[in-house]
Amino acid sequence: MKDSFNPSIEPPKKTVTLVSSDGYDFEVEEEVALESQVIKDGFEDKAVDDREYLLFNVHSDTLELIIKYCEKHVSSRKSISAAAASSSSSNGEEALKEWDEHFISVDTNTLYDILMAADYLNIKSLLDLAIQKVADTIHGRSPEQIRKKFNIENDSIIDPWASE
Amino acid sequence: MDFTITNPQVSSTKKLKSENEMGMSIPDRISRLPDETLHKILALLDMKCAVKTSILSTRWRYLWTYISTLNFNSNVFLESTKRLAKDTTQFKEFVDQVFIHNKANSILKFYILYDEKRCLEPPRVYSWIRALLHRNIQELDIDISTDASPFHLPVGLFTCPSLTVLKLKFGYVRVPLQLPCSVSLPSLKTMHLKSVCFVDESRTSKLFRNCPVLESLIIMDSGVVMLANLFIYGHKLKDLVIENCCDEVGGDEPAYCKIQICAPNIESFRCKDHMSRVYSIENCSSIVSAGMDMEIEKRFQFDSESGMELELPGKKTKEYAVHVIKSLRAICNVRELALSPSLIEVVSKQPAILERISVQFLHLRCLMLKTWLSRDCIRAVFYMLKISPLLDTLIIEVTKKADNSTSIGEYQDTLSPLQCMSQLKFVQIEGVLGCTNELKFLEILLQNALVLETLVVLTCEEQLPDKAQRSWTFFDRLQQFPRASSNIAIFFH
Repeated sequence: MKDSFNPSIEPPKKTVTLVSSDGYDFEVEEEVALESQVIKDGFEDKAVDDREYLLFNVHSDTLELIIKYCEKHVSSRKSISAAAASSSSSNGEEALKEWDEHFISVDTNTLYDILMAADYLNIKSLLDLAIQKVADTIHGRSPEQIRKKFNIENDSIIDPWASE
Repeated sequence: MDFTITNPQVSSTKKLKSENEMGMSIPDRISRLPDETLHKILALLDMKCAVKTSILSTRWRYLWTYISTLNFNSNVFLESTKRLAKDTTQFKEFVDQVFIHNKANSILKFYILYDEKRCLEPPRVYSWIRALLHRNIQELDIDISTDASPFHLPVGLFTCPSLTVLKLKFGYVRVPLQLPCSVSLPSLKTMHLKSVCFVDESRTSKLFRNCPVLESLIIMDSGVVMLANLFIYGHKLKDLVIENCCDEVGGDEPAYCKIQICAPNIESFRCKDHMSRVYSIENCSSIVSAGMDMEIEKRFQFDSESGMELELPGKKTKEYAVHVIKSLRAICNVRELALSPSLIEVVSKQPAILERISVQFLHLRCLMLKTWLSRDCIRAVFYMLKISPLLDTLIIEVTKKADNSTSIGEYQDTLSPLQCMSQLKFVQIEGVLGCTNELKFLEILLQNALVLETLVVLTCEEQLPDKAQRSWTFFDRLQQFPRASSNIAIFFH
């Protein structure tokens, strides 16, 4: 069920509610929501019992992915710093990188949705990840292949570079 | 419920209109991204790919002229060409053209990789750097691996206030670092120098001293012949790598440049050098990880005429050992340490010096050694274990020494019982040949390591004639050794 998003129950953690553009409520832990710089910036001004954000630019399908990403990053950061504190070696950062790569391997449409949402919510690491993915898609492709991949229509009447 | 987040895309209605005007039917979502985002995407591409996107559609035509990160790579540019003179000329002209067309307020990052046989004219590179200095450059990465006539770098480069990353990598012909008398790089965090040549002692030390926020410094394949001392002072320095400093001095007793390091906040130090050079390391108590890949001077390695390996003079061994132990003492707070075969050999020949100076690695957790297992070296390895009471991981890569096996000597157990290895949990030994000393070493290890959990033995990859047979015998004997720890998993491959 989309509208009862509650991953952990044990200690009563503070939560906020994110409402997607199509009207679904997502209850997430405070620290997960604060991954978004936009939410963080306005957070202190809000009353404690009114921590609800209407994200009318983010569809529930995308929001679910974004929350998944933020939760993963919050928990990984914790385990990496715990490993560093106990001086035990960990490959946490590498594992996270792999996870990221897998996470962003999506179709062009979803990639675009993630990119726009990351931009809108200002989640820098996710935005960088999505932008890198788009750049990788462009890299090594001919203009015609790029057009096809992203459905770009060539609207130039005279193509000054056509001879290339 | 209130709406604290406002829609940043104020121009979406405008975009829809223009889309209608263009009469597009298939949704093209990428072209609808804001300019700023598209610039970021293009900034990640090689410049040739970025410029190519200008023909996608009118939306894309001028996007590339606004990006503030310029990446040039001669390999990408010349990919499908025959790399003739005209092609390399085209590359230079391409860089010039990008500069001319760029309309971004600043060029924050500039990266150029050029590794063609034909050289890039130094004045051209000079003028590019000059242009960048006027455009608030932050990250400059120049990798020109061609053997060109010496480059001159604009003096303004060393007083650039915006510079945060400076990477200068050159080819076989070292580029003299002509420094102005006043150097100031207030924002510089990363400096990587490859194949440069330091020419002035006091200006060079000023260079490092006047980078107050420098965190990472790499000096590789660089000439120090003109200096008596290389001072590296960095209050914020965290990572330091010094590799293959070149002296090019002749004579029987060459005077090598001395390297002095003062880095109170250093965390990682890697060093690859010969052991005749004096390192004076001060104030390195915060060090976490170190790698000392020390070698024997080239002139003592091989006889230039016969190609035979030379015996190192006794006087030199002592001198080397003194230098090495002094460095080890300076970095004795490390948690992770890697040591080279020659270093262990030299130390093993001078146990008296090692014991007299009484170094202790009280924080060492992980020790990585490359060594041949001669009698002396095994003794040195056990000595290292003895002075590292908290060690939990030991990784040994067995290397072969080319000389005759008589000097290896059979290891006799003289240290028992060993008061060490009380924390050792993981041991990996690679490149095992199946000889007596290896077995002896493992026998002592198993007898003494009280809490050992894992032992990994990897045999040498080389295909020797009786390898299978030898491995089997080796493993068989290994299994029979008495063990101090009750819970050991042995992996043999």
